[in-house]
Amino acid sequence: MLIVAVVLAVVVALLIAVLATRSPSGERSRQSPLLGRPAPAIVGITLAGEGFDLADYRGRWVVVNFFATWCIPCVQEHPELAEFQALHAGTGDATLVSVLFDNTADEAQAFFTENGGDWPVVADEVGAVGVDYGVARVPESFLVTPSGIVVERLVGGVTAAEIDELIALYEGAPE
Amino acid sequence: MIDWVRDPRVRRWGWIVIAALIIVSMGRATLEAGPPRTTAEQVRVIGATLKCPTCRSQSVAGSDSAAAKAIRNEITQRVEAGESGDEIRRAISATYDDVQLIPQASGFEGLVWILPVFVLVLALAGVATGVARWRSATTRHATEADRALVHEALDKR
Repeated sequence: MLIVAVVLAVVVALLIAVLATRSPSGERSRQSPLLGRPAPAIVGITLAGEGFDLADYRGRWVVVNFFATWCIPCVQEHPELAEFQALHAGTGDATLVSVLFDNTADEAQAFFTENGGDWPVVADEVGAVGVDYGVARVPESFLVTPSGIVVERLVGGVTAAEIDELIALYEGAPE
Repeated sequence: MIDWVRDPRVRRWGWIVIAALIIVSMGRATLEAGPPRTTAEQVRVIGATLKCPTCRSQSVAGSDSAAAKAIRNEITQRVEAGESGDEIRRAISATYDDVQLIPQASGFEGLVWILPVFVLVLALAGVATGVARWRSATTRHATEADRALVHEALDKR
């Protein structure tokens, strides 16, 4: 009887250990299976009607930003993204691409006309690019190295200074 | 007259009939359930095993959030391309962190599948041991010493 009790106690302890080591269902983190891996392709047509291919941006840092015009934090981060783009437009060392998330191209066009911003904005009508990047809710941004590797997933609104700090951090780090 | 409850042959057949009914019921349920037939059905079945990344306690199949809709679209495209449920789950898990509602069959999470089976086997072994002990206790025969004691007691009367 003692052996059975001990075995049952071990089994229950193992079950508790398995369940306790799993993340709670509501917990959200900046973790992503994409970190350290090549950035998924983004190929599409921008709001300006031009073709876009993320692969063409090799050699530059790229911020892939997922947003929607109905999302308040996205609207709030917009001036920061505009500042980031303006800061790097001259040097050409970094750039920005926005991908629509559950939003129509017409709504996004109206938003950019009103709020400014001249970086590429790619429509993603069925959400395929969002799924490729594992986007749960917007705004979400991914920092892609000049060699095309995803190094950061930024959940929530970002600032130009925050992105620049990250770029400086990775540029200072050995490859 | 036959004692239906205590007759060992009747009891044995009773157990056989019960086992047969269980096997037939399980087999019928499995066959009737069958694999999903339409694309929509497959998307629902696969979506039910994936956690909606923006919800609490909802699967991709049961949520109307933008992320869940996008994942359902992705599942639909992959089903139409002929990918299996496991392949699709792996693909979605490759981009979304901790999205699987069903624990993995391998690694540490695999214990969730193995331990209940282990406990069941242990419990069945315990029941079998108990029954064997009980049966050996009920079929115990009188020894010569027991008979001598009985004779001695009867002779004294």
